[in-house]
Amino acid sequence: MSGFWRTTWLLARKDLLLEARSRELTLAMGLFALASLVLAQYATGAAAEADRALLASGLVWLVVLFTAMLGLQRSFAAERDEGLFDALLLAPLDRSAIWAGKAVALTALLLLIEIVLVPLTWLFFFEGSTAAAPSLVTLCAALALANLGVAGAGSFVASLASAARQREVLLPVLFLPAVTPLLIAGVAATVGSAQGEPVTQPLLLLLVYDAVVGVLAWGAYDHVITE
Amino acid sequence: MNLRSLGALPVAIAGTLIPFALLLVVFWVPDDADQGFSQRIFYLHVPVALVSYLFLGLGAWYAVRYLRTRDPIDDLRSYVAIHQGVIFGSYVLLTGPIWAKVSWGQWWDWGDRQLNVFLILFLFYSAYFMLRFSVDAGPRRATLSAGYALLGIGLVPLSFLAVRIAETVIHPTPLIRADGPQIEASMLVTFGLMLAGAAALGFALFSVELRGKLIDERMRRLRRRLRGEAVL
Repeated sequence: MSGFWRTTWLLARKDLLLEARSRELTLAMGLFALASLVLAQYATGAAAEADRALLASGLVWLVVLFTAMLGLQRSFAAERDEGLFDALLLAPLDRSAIWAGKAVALTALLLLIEIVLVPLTWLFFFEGSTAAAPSLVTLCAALALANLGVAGAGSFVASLASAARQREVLLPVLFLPAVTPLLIAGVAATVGSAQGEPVTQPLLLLLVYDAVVGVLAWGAYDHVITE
Repeated sequence: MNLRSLGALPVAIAGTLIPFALLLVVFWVPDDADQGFSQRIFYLHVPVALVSYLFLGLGAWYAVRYLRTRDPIDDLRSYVAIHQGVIFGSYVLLTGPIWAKVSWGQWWDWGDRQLNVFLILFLFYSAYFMLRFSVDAGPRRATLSAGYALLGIGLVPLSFLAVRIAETVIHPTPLIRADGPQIEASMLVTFGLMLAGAAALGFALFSVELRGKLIDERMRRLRRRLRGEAVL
C-alpha cells in the first residue's frame, strides 16, 4: 500500500511539474471558466435578482464540471502521444496508481481554478445583490469534496476514452452522466445554504460519491487498463 | 441441452403471458381508486422498467465476470444484456411521460425519483455503446466496455440518493409494505403475470440477439478460412 501512495505521489508530481513548466492547461482552463462565467452572467441577465442568485448557485457547478472536462481532454494525452503509457505498464508498479496519480493532479488543478472562480462568481452574481447568497464555507467544502469525485470518476473514464477513436468526442458523453449525482448534490448544498436549510445530507452524499467511485476505480483499474 | 429448445421456451412463455395479462389489464382489474382507468398503464410501465433494471444489472454482472475470466462470451453477454436493458429503457422513458401527463398533468416531473434516476442511468448506458463502437473488436474493446459497465454499479445507488435529495414532491406509494399489499389481489396477480411475461420477453430477445452475434462471428471466421487466411 505504501508503494501505491508513493507511486501515486510521484506520478502526480510529474504531471504537476510538467504543468508548472508549460502552464498551458491551467491558463486554458482558467480562461474557459472565466469566459463561461461571463456568458452565464449574460444568459441570466433577464432574470430577477433573487432568481439570478439561485441560478448562479447552479451555474457555478456547471462551469466547474465543464472546466474539469477541458482538463480531462488532455489528461492522458502525453501518455498516449509519447508512448509513456507502455512504459508505465511495463514498470513494476501498482497500476491503480496511474489512475490515482492523474486524479490527484487534476484535483490540484481544479482547486487552483476554483480559487479564482469562486470570488469571480461572487463579484458577478452576489456582490451588491439583495438576494441571499450561499454560505461561502459550504460552497468551498462542497467544491473540495466534489473535486475528488470529479477527478476520480473523470480520470477513470478519460483513461477508458483515451484508448478509443474520437476520444475528444467520447469523453464528455461518458463523463457527464457519471458525474450527474455530484452536480445534484453540489447544487443542493449550495442552494440549501442560501436558503438556510441543513446541508449535511448533500455534503455527505458528495463524500459517499467520492468513496464509492474511489473504491470502484481503484479496484477495477488494474483489470481495465490496456496497452 | 439443445440450444434451440432452450431459446424457444422464453418465447413461448412471453407469447402466452403478455397477451393474457393484457386481456386482464383491460377487462379484469378494477379501476384505480385515485387515478381511474389511466392507472392501467402501470401494468406495462413498471414491469418493463423492472426488466430493464434487471438487464442492466445482468450486463454489469457479466462485465465483472469478463474481467475475472477474460472469456469473450461474457463480454458478448454483457453487451447484449445492456443492449436489451437500453431497449426496454427507451420503452420506459416513452410510457413514463404518458402516464405522468395523464395523472400529474405534465409530461415530465423533475421532482420524481424513479423517472430521473432512470434517465441518468439511461444516458450513462447509452454512452456505453459510443465507447464500445469507438474501439476495434477484440480484448481491448471488451476490457474497456467492462470497465465502464462496472462504474454503472456504483451509479445506481448514488443517483437514487442524489435524486432523493433533489426531489420535491409526490410519487405513488410503494406497492408492498410490511403490513401486506396495499392493492387488490387481482391487481397484484395481473402485475405479476405481466412482470413474468416481460422478463420472458427480455430473455427471449437476449438469447436471440446473443445467438445472432455468435453466428455472425462464426460466419466471419468461416469466410476468412475460405479466403485461406489463418484463423485461430
